[in-house]
Order: sequence, then C-alpha cells, then structure tokens
Amino acid sequence: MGGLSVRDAVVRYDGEGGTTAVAGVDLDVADGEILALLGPSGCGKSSLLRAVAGLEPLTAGTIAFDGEDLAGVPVHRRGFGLLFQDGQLFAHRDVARNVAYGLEVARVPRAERAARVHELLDAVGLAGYGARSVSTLSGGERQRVALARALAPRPRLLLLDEPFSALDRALRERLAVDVRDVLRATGTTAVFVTHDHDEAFTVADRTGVMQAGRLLQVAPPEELWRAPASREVAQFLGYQAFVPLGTRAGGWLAVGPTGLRVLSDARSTPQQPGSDDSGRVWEARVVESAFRRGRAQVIVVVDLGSGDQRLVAQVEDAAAPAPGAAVKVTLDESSCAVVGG
Amino acid sequence: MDQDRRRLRPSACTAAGWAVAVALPLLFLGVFFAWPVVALVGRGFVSDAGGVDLTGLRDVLGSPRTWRLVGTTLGQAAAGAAGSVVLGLPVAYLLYRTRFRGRALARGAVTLPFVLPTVVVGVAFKALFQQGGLLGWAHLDETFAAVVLALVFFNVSVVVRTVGGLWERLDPRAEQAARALGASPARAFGTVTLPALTPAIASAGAVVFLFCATAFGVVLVLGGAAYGTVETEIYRRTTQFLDLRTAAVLSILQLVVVGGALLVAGRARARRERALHLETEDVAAHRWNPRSAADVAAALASLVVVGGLILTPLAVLVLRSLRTADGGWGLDNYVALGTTGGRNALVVTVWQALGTSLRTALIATVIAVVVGGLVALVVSRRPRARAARRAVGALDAVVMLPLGVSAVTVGFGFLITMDRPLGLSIDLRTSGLLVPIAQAVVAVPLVVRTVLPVLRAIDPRLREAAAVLGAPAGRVLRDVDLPIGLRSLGLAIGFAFAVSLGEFGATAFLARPDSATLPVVIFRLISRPGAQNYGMALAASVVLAVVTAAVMMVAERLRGDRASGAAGGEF
Amino acid sequence: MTSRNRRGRVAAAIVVAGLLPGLAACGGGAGGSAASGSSSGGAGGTVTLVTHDSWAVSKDVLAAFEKESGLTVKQVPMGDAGTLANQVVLTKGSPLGDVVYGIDNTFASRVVDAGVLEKYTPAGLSESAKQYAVGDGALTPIDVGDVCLNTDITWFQQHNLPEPKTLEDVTKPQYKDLMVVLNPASSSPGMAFLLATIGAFGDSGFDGHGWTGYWTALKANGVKVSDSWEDAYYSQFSGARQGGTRPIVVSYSTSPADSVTKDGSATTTRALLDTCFRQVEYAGILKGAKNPEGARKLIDFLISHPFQADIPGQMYMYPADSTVELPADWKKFAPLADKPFTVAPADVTAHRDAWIDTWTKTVVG
Repeated sequence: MGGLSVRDAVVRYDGEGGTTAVAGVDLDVADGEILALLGPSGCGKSSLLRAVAGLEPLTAGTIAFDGEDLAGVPVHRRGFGLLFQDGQLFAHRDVARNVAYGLEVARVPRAERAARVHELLDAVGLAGYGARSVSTLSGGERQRVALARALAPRPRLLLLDEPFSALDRALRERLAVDVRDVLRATGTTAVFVTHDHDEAFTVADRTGVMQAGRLLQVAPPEELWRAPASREVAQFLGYQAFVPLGTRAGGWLAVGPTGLRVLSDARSTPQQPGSDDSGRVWEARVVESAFRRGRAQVIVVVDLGSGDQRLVAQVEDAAAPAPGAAVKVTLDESSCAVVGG
Repeated sequence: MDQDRRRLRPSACTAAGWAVAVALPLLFLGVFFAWPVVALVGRGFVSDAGGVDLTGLRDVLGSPRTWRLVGTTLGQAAAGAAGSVVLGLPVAYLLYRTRFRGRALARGAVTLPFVLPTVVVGVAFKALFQQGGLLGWAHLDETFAAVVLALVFFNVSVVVRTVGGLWERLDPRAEQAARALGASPARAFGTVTLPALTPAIASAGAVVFLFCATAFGVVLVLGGAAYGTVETEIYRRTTQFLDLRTAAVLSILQLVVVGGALLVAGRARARRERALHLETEDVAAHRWNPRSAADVAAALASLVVVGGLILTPLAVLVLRSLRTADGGWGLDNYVALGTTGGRNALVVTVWQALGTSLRTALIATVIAVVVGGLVALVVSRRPRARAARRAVGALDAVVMLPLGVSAVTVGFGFLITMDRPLGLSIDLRTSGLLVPIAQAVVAVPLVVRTVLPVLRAIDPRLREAAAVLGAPAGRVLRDVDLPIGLRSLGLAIGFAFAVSLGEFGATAFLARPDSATLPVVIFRLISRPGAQNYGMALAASVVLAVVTAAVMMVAERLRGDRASGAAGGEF
Repeated sequence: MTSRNRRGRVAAAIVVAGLLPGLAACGGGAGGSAASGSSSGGAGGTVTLVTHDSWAVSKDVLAAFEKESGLTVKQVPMGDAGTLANQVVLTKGSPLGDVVYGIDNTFASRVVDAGVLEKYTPAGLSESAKQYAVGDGALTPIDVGDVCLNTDITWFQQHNLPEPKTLEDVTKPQYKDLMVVLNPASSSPGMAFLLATIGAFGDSGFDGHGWTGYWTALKANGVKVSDSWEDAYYSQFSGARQGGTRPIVVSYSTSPADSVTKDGSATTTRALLDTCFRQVEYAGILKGAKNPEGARKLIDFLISHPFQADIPGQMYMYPADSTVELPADWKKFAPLADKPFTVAPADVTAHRDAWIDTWTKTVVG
C-alpha cells in the first residue's frame, strides 16, 4: 500500500506530570492526497506531525510509509519535508541557498540544483529573489521560501505545521490557495496541521478532526459537515446545539451555525408542531440583534430540550426583531445533521 | 545496501558523538582542575598519622580572624558588585541604547580592563594612589576603597556587556506605554525598564561578586599588609607556611561563597535567557540626543567612568613608562625592552618573553575553545529526559568553578598530582605544558559564557528543519550550529587569548622551563633593584596592555554581525 | 553573504591551524620528558635544577659547564623562596627535579627536617662557606647577602638631619614617619629584617622589652608596612627617585650599588651595616633524583669559581666563597656587614609561624 500509514500511535512526554499528547491514532494518507489535521491547540495534532517527521519518538504504535516501517529511520533519512509555522529559514544563507539546502545535502549536482531552485522560486512566486538576504523578506515571502525549500528535494511526504498562522488574514487566505495549487501541481502527498476550518477545507482533500490526542473522524469536507461522526466533532465544527432525537438508538440532531431560523410573524406557524423535529417550533426570547454578511441575525435564548441556551438564529425579514421580543424559532433541516450517541 | 545501512540505527553514532562531547571537557576539567584541587584540600584534612583529621575545621572556624577575613571578603565583593552595577548601568544605556560617533571605540575601551593583566593594573593603580601620585591627596593607598575601585575598574565591563546585551533588544514600546499612561521618565524607568533588566543585572552582579570575592593579584598589590581576604589568606597559608590545614578549611569556606554566587548567577541567567526569546530582534537604538536629560546624564556618567576610572590609570601608566632615568622624557624604557634588563635581571629579553606569551596563549586558546565550545554545545541542548536536563544544568554551573577557586590551590594541587597524571609516566609538572593548560582552565568559563547564549538562541526547530531536509546530526551541527556559533567564536577566541596572555596567578606557581611569560617577566622586573628595571616593567606593562587591546579589537571584528539576536560575552 | 561565509571558513581554518601546533607541543612535551628519563642513567644526560624566580646565570658560564660535563641543565623556576621551599616539601617522594637551589636560611631547617634532601658535601667547598653549613651536608651554601636598613643620603642632607646608624636609632622621635618595613608574612627580606630584630633583642633586649617591644616602639614612631620589597623600595622609598617620600627602607646591602651617581664617584643611598641580617642561599640534591650523578656534578659547579664569580652580576648576592673577587663598585659601595645579627636555623623553623603571628598582632593589629 502506498502512502503514509499510522497505527495506534502514542506520543507521551515525560515532563511535568507526563502528559499524553497522542493517544492511539490510526491514520492513512494515500499517495498524492492532501490531508488536513484540524483541532484546537493542544489537541496533539502537532505532536502527531512531529512523530511522523521523526522529531518525536513514538511511545507505542507504528508509522510506515509505502509499506516500510519507519521505526529506527532517523529524521534525515525519511525523505519528508516539513514546513514550520515561522519558516525557520537559515539566516546565514540567502534565499537561493536556503532553497538549495536539501539538494546540497543530497549532493545534487550544481547545475541541476540551480535549475530546481529557479523552478521552485518561480512556482512560489518569488522568481528573482534568489540572491536576497532572508532578513529582507516579509512574513509571507519567508513562508513561500520555506515552502520552496521544503519542496525542493521532492519529498515523499510534505508536513505542514500551521504554516500560515503567523500571517494576517488576507495573506493567509491567499497563501492557502497558492499552497494548494503548488501541492496539486507537484502531486505532493501532504499532511497539513491547522486550527482554522476554512484553511483545512481550502487546502485538503480530506480532513481529520483531532481532540485530546484522539483522531475523531477523517473525511472529505462535505462529508464531515454532512455527517459528523460524533457530538464532539460536530461541536468542534461549529454545530451550536444538540436536540435529543428521542429514538431508540439515541443520538442527537446537531444544529449548525445557520441551523436555527426565526419564524416571521407574517407566515406564522405554517406547520403544527409534530414529532418530526424539523417541523418543531420553540418559544424564544431575543437578547441581541446583529447584521452580519448581509443578513440579519439574532441571538435568542431558547430551551431545545436541555435547558436555556444562547443560540444564533437567522432572520429572513429585512428587519430583525428588537432585543426583548418574544419569537418562535424552528430548525433548518439543510443546516442540521444527525449524530450518534 | 542502503536499506541495510538505514536499519543500522545511526543514532548510535550520534550518541557516541555526544558522549565524546561530554566526556572530553569532563575529563579535561576533572584531571586538570577537580583532581588537583580535591587532592590538595584533602591533604588539609589528613593528619600526620594518615587518618582523617577534622580539627582544622574547629580551629579555623573558631578563630575570630577567619570571620574577619570572611567579612572583608564579602564586603569587598558586595561593594565591588554594587559599584560595578551602579557605574555600569549608565554606560550600558549610552553604549547600547543610543547611537553616536565613536561608539565602537568606546565599547572597546570599556572591555579592555576586563582582560588586562592584574600585574599591569596593580602597577597602574599603585602609581595613581601612592603619595605624589595623581590621586595621592586622597590617601586611598592600601585602603578598602582602593581595592574596591580597582575591582570596579576590572568588572564594570561585565555589567555593561551583559546588561547592554539585553537592553539593546528590549522593546522600547513598553516604556512608551508607561509614559503614555502618565508615568514620568524616572518612574517609567523604575517600574518598567528596570524590572525587565533585573535578570541581566542580577546575573552580572552575581558574577562580579564572584570575581571580587576571589580577586587575588589586585588585592595583594593594592590592599597592603593589614588587608586580608579569604583568597589572600589561602595564598599566604599555602605558600609561606605550608599550613594546608588552614588553607583547606578556607578553601571550603570560599567554595561555599562561590557556590552561592554561582547559584544566584545561574538562576538569574536562566530567567534572562528565557526572557530573551520574547524580544524583538531589531529594536534600533536611537541617535544620542543632546536635549534628552537621560542621554546627557548617561553621557556624563559614562565620561566619568570611562575617562576617570578606566582611562586615567592607563594614562598614568603610559606617562610613567616614558620617564627616563634622569627625570626627563623619552623612549629609553622601550629601547631597553630588547635587553635583559639592568645587570641581567632577566634571562630573556622582554620581546622574547612576549613571544613565549603569545605561543603559550595560542595553545591555551585552542584548548579552551575546544573544551569550552564542546561544553557550550552540550549545555545548549535540552535533552528529553529530566535527569539528563539536570545533568546539563549542573555542567553549566560546574564549568564556572575555575573562576572561583584559588589559583594557589590549583597550582599546588598540580604539584602533587601531575607527576604521574592518570598513572602515565609523564611528569607534566616540569614539562611546560601545564602553563597553557592552567591558563585554559581559567579561560574555559569565559568561552562557555560567550558561545552559549548564541547557541541557546538558536531555535531548536531550525535544526529540525535541516534534519528534515536530509541533514544527518553532524551535518546539522556544521550547517546550523557552526555558522551561527562562529560569530561568537571570534569573541570567545579573543577572550581566551587575552586571559591567557595576562594570566599570572596560576602561571606564577608553575614551572616555566623554557622561558617566562610576559606577566611573569613584568613581576620579575619590578622585584629586581634598579631604576632601569622598574622603567622596563612599566614599558613592558604598556606593551602587554597594547597587545591585549589589539587582540580584543580583532576579536570584536571577527564577531561579525549580530543578526542572530544574541550578544556574546554575557554572564 | 559569501564574504560572511568566507569569514566562517577562515575562522574554522584558524581553529584547525591552531590545533596542530597545540598537538605538536603535546607530543613534544611528552617526548622530551621521556627522553630525559631514559638517558638520565648514564653519564651526562639531563639534570633538572629547581630554583626560585631570582635564579640567573650567564649563558656562557652555564654553557661551559654543560660542555665540560656533558650534561644538559634544565632550569625550572618555581616562585619565590618561600613558595619554592614549600613546594619542595610538598613534593616529597616525587621530586620536581634533581637539584634544588634557592632554599635560604629562614627555610633551611624546614626543608632539612622534611627529609626531602640527599646528603652531599662537595669536596671543593670553601672555608668561608663552611661556616654557613646546615643539615649535616644536606644543604650546600652557595651565596650570601645582607638585609639591612637603607637610607636616602640626599634626603637627610636636604633636611639637615643626621642619618640613623642602629636599630635603636630609628625609634627616636626625630625619625618619626620616615621608615618603611616589609611584611614578613609575604616578603623574604621582610622576614630577614624581623630576624635581625629578634637576633638583636631576643626576648629581653631593648631595655627588657624584647623584640616585640622594639616593634611596638617602631609602630608608635609611624613605621609603614609594605607587602613587598618592590613596593617599599620603588613606591615608598625616596631614594629610588620614583615618587616615594620615606628616606629609610628595609632593603639589601647591595642596593647602594644601584644608586651610584653618573660619574661613579659616590652613591646617594647607604646600607646601615649595624642593622643587618645575613641571608644564606643553599643548594641540595633532592631525594629520588633521577640523575644523582649529574646532581652532584651540578652542586660542584655551583660552588666552582666560574659560577661563584658570576653570582654578584646575576643574582645580586655575594658568593659564599670569599676568595672570589667582587665587582669594583660593590667593594666600594656595597660591602657585607662585619657582624650581622643571626638566629639559628632550627630556631627559625621552630618559631617562624609564631613569630610572624606575634609580629602581625603587634604591628598590623
């Protein structure tokens, strides 16, 4: 089997208290696939990435690539690339010699090296920057150089550790697209660690959600949204409330960020409350109203079956109800998902 | 083939490399420092019959004289440290927070005293304080104040460099924020800047305390007969009375004081090194502003420190070296350096002695840079295992000890251990090789303190980036640690060379079969009768000071830019 | 960028280039001592002379000896006289060399008692030297010198004050604040002068006050104590013309030969020959010497006429052999005292530390 294969990986630090960063993770990344690891900070995603790179020893489990067990293969023999959050460029080398570093180590002939450096600087949009000192570069340019440097030796697998988190929002979004294009164009297999959903969904073919050292679910973005594997996954993705399904199998209906709707007075109660939750109506009280992305939203306090909660509800009318108003809310089926117990 | 090699866990090779990097300095310091010291101190606790005799502890600790010596030692160290900090702060501000023409030269002038040979400084200050000298009216000769002034002269550069190194990278916006909130400049300094500088001040202060507590040559020359510290008492008890019992107890007392100072220094240093990571790298110093009260005050204070404290004694030394025997002015004393002195006071000419000094210092520097570089490399790592981290921390502290143990103890310890070092039938005591070795032992801590902050400032992920790109451990060292470390290596070489050039304490107690080093020759010249010899001693002191200054200037140039964001030579 | 990299390479090259001579020196050092070990058994070879820092000999005199004896003399200076003596005692059983030179009569007994010396009385020892012999042949007297009060003649002329002559004189009020002495704990001439006062007054001299009473009187008369001779002579003594202000100093009987006027007719300082203590410097063969044969030859050389005649010009001491001709200006300006004060070496060893302690309490306080 090609690509990366992680089985029962455990990473434990024997520092104060001896924390377990990765608690038994299984993960496969196919050849040419881009996988994002999404999770809050401290969930163990970076530790897993460092273990794959060979920078952290595995306490238990195996990591294999193309069927070869990587235990005992040191970092520099794995043929992987790694992109850090802040680039970690060699300050004592210029841009071209930074990009050329992996090629120098691999003893690639000079002419070939120069051609490859040229090619990659071109690919990351920094043609002509070769002789620049890295200290003259902006943050975004540094990350592009770091990407070129990581890609130059044609790594079997590229690992990206929150590569854009130090940049400002606009730059982050543009660079995410650029990175995806470069990875696609070069057919590079990649694992990409981030805490930003948009970034993960922009760049990756599949996204894995990690929490507290465990990999909760791995799926393509739309599947992840449509069918979160558990309440935790749904919660992390931004599902704001959970309504008990009341079926024998248990489970909940997860209410998405736009899954709650205020019923307008004009078309009040088109449906009678029934057993189907999608048709149910709840009494709610508006506490705040806002206008976001061209649409009116309100924050309401409502009891969906597990006590009063503050939730966001969409308003279809042009004018949002004022704070203090009593309204009726209902669920928007297309923005909700069923999750298991 | 390649697959097989890959299976051969190359980390075994790396581990072996680290083992050597740890073992070599430990072996060197163990054989040439710990063993001689323990052997000599141990003799003090062995009775004539061969049993353990701890009566010395009771006798010495019960003597009021001992506690008087301890009192003087602590007082002298505290006053020296406080003086260095108070005088060093304005200079650090001026030299690291403002820009002006000639700043590089001023920085060099401040560093010079630290590496000047004690013999030279003793001669210079003596000339200043004695009756008829420039400061003779103050009647400071052979007083506590004279000793402390000379100690501040030596150590103010430690404070300036260490505090300046942090200050220059301190984000000025914190202080600006305090000012915007209504704090006066003094209050902003006191509540924002000073606390931020505290770790650097504490670590520099502790190291200066250590230097002052164990100062030897200066105290002996300037203190006079009635003045005694633990260090000079160890010297007297050992060399004049062969009273090893008392010397051993005093050595242990000294070790307690030194250990305390090292502990404080180490803690403060750790805090400072953590703090360094928070700094922005390129906070530019502002141009010196004649309308800023702080800038003007700092400039005036620096003028007093640099001009009065540092340059005056040196100027007096130079002037007196130009006095001829008949009371006129001329270069007679310098011409005489090509001779062996009045009535052959010397076996070699001063120039030959300078040659010997340079050769010896070269060997000492190589040893010190190799040993100190390895220690810095090892200590700069943060191993995963807690025990290993502790061990690394201990090595960091232990390597400073040679600065705090009496040269007499080391020198006499050599006598009873180096006849058959490690059981080899080589009598090192008279081989001449012990001189550079003893000098290297003293220089190693300075090399470590110069290289270590630079290596520690390297983000470990930079090494990981190289490793992921395919560089094996050795290649990472070569491509990451070496080029960055090399910037500090120039300065480390300079420090080691200058210290070896001027080392007198240990050198004086060791055999010098080939020929004497320059400090020994200077000491010999002032100990021999004849006005010509005294004049030659002054001229030779000037030559030694000039050579030392030249070495430091070259070293500062070798240091390269400071893009790595860490200054060298900090404590 | 490239220039910085080149600088890195240059620095690396310096380190490597520096290592090579260092290693070569290591090899050389070890090889050298191995060679001396192997050849020391036969005739000739290397003989190692351990000395104090004031040791000096003319090159041609030493070369002639080496040529004639076939020996190579390795000279190992080891600090001042006190340090040397204590180092010799400390290295008992594993000596630093074959012969020690520079043990003076204030340390002689300590070294003899420690049993670190081999007995040897050279056949050609002069009659004048024999009077200084100690330790039943363990130590051979090589040279002597007197430590006396010195005065600045010019100063006393300018101030119309008669120069003092005796130890008692300097306690008189007219010499208040005029004298500099040396700390016996740190200075060998200082110790010698303390012994002069002990030899002169003992416990009951100086009108029954003994030597401690004498020092109390000196202190009351404003005596200044220096830690080292060089400081006392050059920084405090007016006769050195280096800015000092006190016209009476503890120094050597040879010192006036250094303040001879330009025309060579007179000297501006004087040694008070009734205030002197005689220092004697000895040589001895170290027990466990690798080259005992060479050691005996070296001792023979040290008492031989060529070396004895070389002593005044090289080491500022008088040859122990009084038949040896002295330099002309020594005869004129720096004679030895007729009747220096003496203290038996055994007494010195027995009481040395106690005397220094008493002195310290009396004078320094």
